[in-house]
Amino acid sequence: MVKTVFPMALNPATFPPSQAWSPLKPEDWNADHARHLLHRIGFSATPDRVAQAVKLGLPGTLAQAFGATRPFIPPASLNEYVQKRAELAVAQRGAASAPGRAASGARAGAPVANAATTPDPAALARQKLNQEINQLERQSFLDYVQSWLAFAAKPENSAQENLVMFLSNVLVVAQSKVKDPTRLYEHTNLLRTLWQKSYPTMIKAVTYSPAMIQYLDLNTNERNGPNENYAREVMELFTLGEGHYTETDIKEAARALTGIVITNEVGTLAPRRWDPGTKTIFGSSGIFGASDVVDLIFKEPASSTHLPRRFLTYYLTTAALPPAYLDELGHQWQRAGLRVDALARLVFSSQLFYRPEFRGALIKSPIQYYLGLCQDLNLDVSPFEGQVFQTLRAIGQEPFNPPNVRGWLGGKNWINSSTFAARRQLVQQLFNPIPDKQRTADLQAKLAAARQAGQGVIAMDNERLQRLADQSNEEIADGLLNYFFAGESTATYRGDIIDYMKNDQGPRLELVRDVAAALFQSPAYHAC
Amino acid sequence: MNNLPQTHLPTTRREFLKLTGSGLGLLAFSAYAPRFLTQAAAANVPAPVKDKRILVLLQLAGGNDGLNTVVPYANDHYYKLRPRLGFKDATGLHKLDDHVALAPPCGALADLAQNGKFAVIQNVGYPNPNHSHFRSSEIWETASDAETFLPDGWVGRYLDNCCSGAPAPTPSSDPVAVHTTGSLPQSFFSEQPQNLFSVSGNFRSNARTRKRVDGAPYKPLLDDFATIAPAGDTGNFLSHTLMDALVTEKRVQQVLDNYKPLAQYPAGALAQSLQRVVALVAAGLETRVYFCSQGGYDTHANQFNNHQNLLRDLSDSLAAFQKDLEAHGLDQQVLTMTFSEFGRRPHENDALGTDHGTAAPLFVMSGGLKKAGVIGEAPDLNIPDKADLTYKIDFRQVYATVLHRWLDTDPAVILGGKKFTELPFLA
Repeated sequence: MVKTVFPMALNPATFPPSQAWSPLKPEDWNADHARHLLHRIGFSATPDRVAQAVKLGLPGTLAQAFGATRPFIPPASLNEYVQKRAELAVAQRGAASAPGRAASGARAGAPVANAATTPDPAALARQKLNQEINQLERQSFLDYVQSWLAFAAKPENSAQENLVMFLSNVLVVAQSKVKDPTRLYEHTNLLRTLWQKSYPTMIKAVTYSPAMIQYLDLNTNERNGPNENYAREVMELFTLGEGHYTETDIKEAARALTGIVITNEVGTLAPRRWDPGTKTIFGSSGIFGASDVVDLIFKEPASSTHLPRRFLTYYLTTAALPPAYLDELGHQWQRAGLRVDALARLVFSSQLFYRPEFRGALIKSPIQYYLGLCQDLNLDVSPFEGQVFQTLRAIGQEPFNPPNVRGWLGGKNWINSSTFAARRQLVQQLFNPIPDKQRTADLQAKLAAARQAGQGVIAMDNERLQRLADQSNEEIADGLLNYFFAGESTATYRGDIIDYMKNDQGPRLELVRDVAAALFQSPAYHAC
Repeated sequence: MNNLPQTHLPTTRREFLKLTGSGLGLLAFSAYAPRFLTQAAAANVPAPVKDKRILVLLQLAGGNDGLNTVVPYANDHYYKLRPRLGFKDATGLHKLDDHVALAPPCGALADLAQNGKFAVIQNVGYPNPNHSHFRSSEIWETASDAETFLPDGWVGRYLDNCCSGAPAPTPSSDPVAVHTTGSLPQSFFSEQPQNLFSVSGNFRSNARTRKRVDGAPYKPLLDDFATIAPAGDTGNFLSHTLMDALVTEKRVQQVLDNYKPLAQYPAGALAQSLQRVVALVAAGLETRVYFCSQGGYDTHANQFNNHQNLLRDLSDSLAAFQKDLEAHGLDQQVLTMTFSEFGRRPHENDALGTDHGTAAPLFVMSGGLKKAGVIGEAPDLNIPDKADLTYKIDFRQVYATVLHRWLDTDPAVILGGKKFTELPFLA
């Protein structure tokens, strides 16, 4: 991860931590602050929503963003998946018991007609079933991703889903290992239903999440053969951070965490696999189990600053803050009962969060960039689930599939020439879409279905661009810059836009298209 | 940043210098000055010859069946393991020595081996092998133990180690590593942001041109926007990375447009990728590592013809690539190395395919090889039913050899402080 030395302007001596985390004064709340907040908690800050936030005030805006849990209904195909997967599993068991030619002695040398050139039909059938299962898993996963993106793109859901994204980048599972899309959904949904609870409660629940049990090998952790994978990551990545535990703590915690298995898609304790002996973790001894491990971890001082540190990296700055600020935030979070939503409220209400040096200091993640474009341009998430996934993959973030247990590093690691090119290609797709007729029949059908459901606006149409083109060059420049950039740090863009509209030859509609497309690829748009 | 003249972004450093002038000094001191500017300011010192050495990685994705690629034709056990899927005898095979031969479609590679430019490294793998495509690829690409999870790739660590870090500026605006795959290979994951570039299937620079009323040369609006850095460290970084990307994209487009292959390539995606590599190398890009991929090796059923077709594509593409490099006078400078996440199970399965296995041979190819032919011993095939092969050469021995003898880097720094015995294919 790229470490940046933080500007010295933020100094605990002149801006004490207690003041830093105290609430922003109501009289200081303004449109600039509202825009900053909306960009960070969600994916965009359109002028109408900025105006609404100003009117609501900061506490009101946060109450709206982090109020009641908003349920995400998984797509119907996920239920169909469960059904079909069960059918295929039955077929698979049948195929496995079918007598193959090998059993009849081909390998032993008995002559079998055409044995040298044709495969055993029973074996082929097994291979075909495996392929079908893979395809089913893949397709259901893509459907799930697409419907989640569409849910998260609704502005009223964005703050919650961004928080869920943050939490799943700490409590990581990945599709590369957990192929079953229902497990992936259930895991994320656990985070979605528990973000108003305490973080220890969330960790206890995650320990029994089938996706996590599979991803970090808890189901192979048993009294006679411990697997330390989960014990290590729960301390290193979920709760404490490196340097705040010993190898003995991990070994002993792994023993306490034995016996957890998946039964009928539910994480349960198989008592006979659990190690009933005495364990010593962080100096305490007892006949500990999984729940005790979590309780012991949260008695360690580092547990009050670990999640806040990750939270600030995700929402505020990738630079390391002076430690005094983190310590104070940790104290306040502890007083708030370690509730996840309380951490969000503490940070987003604070004076520190609204300091000017944090404006435009984060780089949008690929998902933020894509959903932000959809919201800014008032477009629907594309119904072409395969294409959307490919696009996000090229930009560097496959939804629900981080590269490893550390999650995405984010920040400057999002950006290189390859990912920039892919971001630019996405904008081109939105502004210069392929004509419907040139799409395959399959995609045309998907688009028609999306339109029927009122969600088929997947690219900028000429009608909207024409409305812009009908204005004067100055109006075009000011309109675009004020709407999308609030006039910030883009004064120089204005002259360039006017010059382009004036001097470049082509239908005004096309020039406007060039201008708008260039703005969404500009350096300023990748930051928030 | 804002006093950079608003101009069409040049595709070469010389062009840039001609068009700009003042303002350069300021840029050179910025934390993220585009690499082409820092180099221009540093003068045109030719890089030492060692720095011109280039590594091309070719991934055979899916797990290549080593036993039907490098066939142990003199080993009776082979015929027992492969009663239907295997070759019946040595007819049509290209013998490399008294033990093994390349499959029939690999004639061109056998010729290269005879001419000292191609070697098979036998029985490469790692301890406690993993049979998952994803995990085993990850182990190969991060160069980790089977039990260790590393966040960055082995090439990425090499780049972090050799190609970044203040105060010495990176030598040019050229990407340090290029991949022809759609998404970034895990091998390239790095701690430091690196200048990486993708020329995948549909690569096309977005350079549309319009005419201007005032007769001045056309410049895409984004070229202007790119030079205007938003406030702060992040803004600077974004602006400079975008400038680099735009310059590289145009340059690459130009290079690809002007490139004329000097060899007859087969049709297909692999050949296209390799031609792009030659084009970029021949154009003098300072890119050190290229990553290409050929898929389709996950042959669980009806393997024989599919696999032999893949090998034909591989052999013909690689041979054309090598010939093309030779014609451009670059064959001494480029080392090509294949890898695959695992080999396949020695026993054929009942669907006339093979399941996920462990060790397998890999290929190295270059005009600069010290030893060609066969390196290492063929795997022991006297094994129980359904058992896996046991590797003899750790894949990190190959990496260590390449890092040390080709890229002139201390391999231990890249390979977690461990020493791996190097192999004799390079001097």
